[in-house]
Amino acid sequence: MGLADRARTLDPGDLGTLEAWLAAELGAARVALGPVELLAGGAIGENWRLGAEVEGGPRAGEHDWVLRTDAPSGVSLSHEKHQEFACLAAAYEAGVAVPEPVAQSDDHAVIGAPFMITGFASGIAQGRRIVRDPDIAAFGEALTERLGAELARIHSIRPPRADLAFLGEPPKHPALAQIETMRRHLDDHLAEAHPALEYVLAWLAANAPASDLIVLCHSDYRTGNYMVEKGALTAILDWEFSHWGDPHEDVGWFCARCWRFGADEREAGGIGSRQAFYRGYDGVSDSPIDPAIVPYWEIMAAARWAVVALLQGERHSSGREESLELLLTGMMASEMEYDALCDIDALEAAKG
Amino acid sequence: MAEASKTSRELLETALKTYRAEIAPELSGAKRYVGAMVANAVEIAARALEAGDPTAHLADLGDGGAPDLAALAAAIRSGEIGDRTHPRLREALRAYVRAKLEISNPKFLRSRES
Repeated sequence: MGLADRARTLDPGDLGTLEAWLAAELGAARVALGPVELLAGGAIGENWRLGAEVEGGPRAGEHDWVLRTDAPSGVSLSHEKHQEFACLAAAYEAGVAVPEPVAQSDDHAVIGAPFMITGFASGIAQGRRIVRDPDIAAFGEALTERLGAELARIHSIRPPRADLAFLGEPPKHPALAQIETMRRHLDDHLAEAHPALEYVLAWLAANAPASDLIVLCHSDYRTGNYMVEKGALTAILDWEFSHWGDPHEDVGWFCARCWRFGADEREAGGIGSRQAFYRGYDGVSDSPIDPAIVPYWEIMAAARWAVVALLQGERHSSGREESLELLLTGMMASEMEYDALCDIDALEAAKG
Repeated sequence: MAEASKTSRELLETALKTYRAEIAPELSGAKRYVGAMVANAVEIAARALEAGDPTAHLADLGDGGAPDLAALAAAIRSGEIGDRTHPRLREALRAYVRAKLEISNPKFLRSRES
């Protein structure tokens, strides 16, 4: 389905309701929006770039913003917009490189769907383009180290937090909690059984490490979810899966083979070395990465991506949403199963 | 190979060739991406017709009959079947997944085996 075929929420010819709502929200005398432009991408919702002129109040001046909406068929695993906005705001406060949170509403009366407005970040996010940039050798290591440092800043956000109460109680055993969630998704949503994935989950359960620190995990921290301009980081995106967890979960997700976009030799996100990523992290965090435990979390990452791929495929197979892209994504689960089984082989062989 | 699947294979392969020669070059932008997915799907279907049944690799784990994937998955989760009861379990599962990938994405397999 192309962008043009999709029903749009925002009508650029009718911005009065949004302008009035924003003026009240920002304590301004008047807000004038324009130009308004629909941005490409946004697999789940729509992204609109908004020029804004604010008169009066603490945000008086000209702004370059982005409005993001939820799609009608939102992914069930993700937060609602107001929760994502709260995570983003917490990250912004913690000094993480994120677009500035501006305003948010779950009220369908404003533009017809829940949405949030943040600052505009320039650059590209597509993983394939970033790892294949001809200058990656020049900027990759520095970018990787910076992303390690940013992750440590995210992980400085720790429970309890009244503003993040919707995240629920921090898990006592984050690894086992993740495995339980994945098994529940397999049972509740999938018609077919997946013995290889079950083996991986059983292995993960039998080898689950205890966690001595619980932090805010971004939970989708990977190449493809941050923006880069001229080789430098401009923003970390996509906060809809954030939750309390073990800090190594994000490290494993970032380094897992399935998120290197084919640039396998650059083990940190297809852009740089593990050493650079760990160095950046350890330079900021009060709790250094334990390199021995990261391989476990990379297997967890493969399992989780396999489950997500299967759930996407199921959206097609169930007849809910006919889509070749979803169907092919579901078939990708075997790739993660294969990587996980090979990694388990290697770890078991090392045990002797 | 049965006559029907031989015909199916010929249809898929010829459709793919025709698509590549006459339609794909005309596509640009988002349609090119859709076209690549369509070609990929046809290739997968053609390979599936050629390939054996991936679950054959799991035959030794059950009672010798056709493997029941749901029963196997449940037994692995409960621990009834594991490395101890079946020392070649992981090897069999890997062969099964490998066979699925020979159909869905042999390029991926080659990249992992190089």
